Amino acid sequence: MLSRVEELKLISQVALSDNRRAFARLVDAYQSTVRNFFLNLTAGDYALSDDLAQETFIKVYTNIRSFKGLSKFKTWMLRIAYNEFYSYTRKMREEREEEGYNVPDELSRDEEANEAKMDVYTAMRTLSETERTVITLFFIQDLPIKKIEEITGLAEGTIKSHISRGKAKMAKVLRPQS
Amino acid sequence: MKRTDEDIQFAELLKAHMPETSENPWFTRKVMNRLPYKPKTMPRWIKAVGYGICIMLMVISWVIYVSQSNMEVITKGDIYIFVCMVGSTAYFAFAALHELIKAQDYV
Repeated sequence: MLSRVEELKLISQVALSDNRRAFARLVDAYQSTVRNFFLNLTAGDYALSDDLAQETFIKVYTNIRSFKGLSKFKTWMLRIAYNEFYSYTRKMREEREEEGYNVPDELSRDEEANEAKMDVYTAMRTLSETERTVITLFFIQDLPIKKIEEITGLAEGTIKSHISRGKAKMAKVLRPQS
Repeated sequence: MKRTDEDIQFAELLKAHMPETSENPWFTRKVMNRLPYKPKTMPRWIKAVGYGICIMLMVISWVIYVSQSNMEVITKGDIYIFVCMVGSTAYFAFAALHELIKAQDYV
């Protein structure tokens, strides 16, 4: 794990002199964070997570000069990751609509009932993309609401309602069937 | 929003059962291969030293020219040398300024 000073040093080397070795060190340090973030959002799709993570790091590299240091680098990077995921899902939805499919964001209630076992990814798939994002950031990344606001651009009230709705939906699936 | 005991337990449950990605030594390599192409350019310090030397030579040339010129008699050669020196000075000054502005863009 990089210290804040080391991290800022690497960022300034990339931003000022396009030092690619410094950028590779940043990728090494944050690849697990970003890949796990996407793994949770895609509910377990390893290949898609890696693709999205690569796209995210490329965007981080091309936009690194716009990082002002007002927030933590991790927060700024997760914001890019979130936007990348959001663009991907919007593109998929548009393609599916063009082809005539109407794929819902969530599984149907019947599927929820049939898969009520201790399977966290199954439970995650019952959530909408936004709920999944907020649940991942709040419960798994342990980020405060303020940071989630910075990353997603959602209002505090919206985030809180997504958290409680998401938790309730997941609890229904994870609770053992009586 | 304060985390309740239920939130903490829920978080622990998710973290305990959520599969994680393993460290991938090839991931960084893949990202670096996909970065935009970076053309090889001369290191900035070499350019700075080069421009510095040129500016010093120009200043010395101007000093020699002014000290040795005879303002009473101006020949075609004098005019020619004067125009060349003004042109060279303007070129080096503009080029150095351009590099300086380009460097500022990165800040």
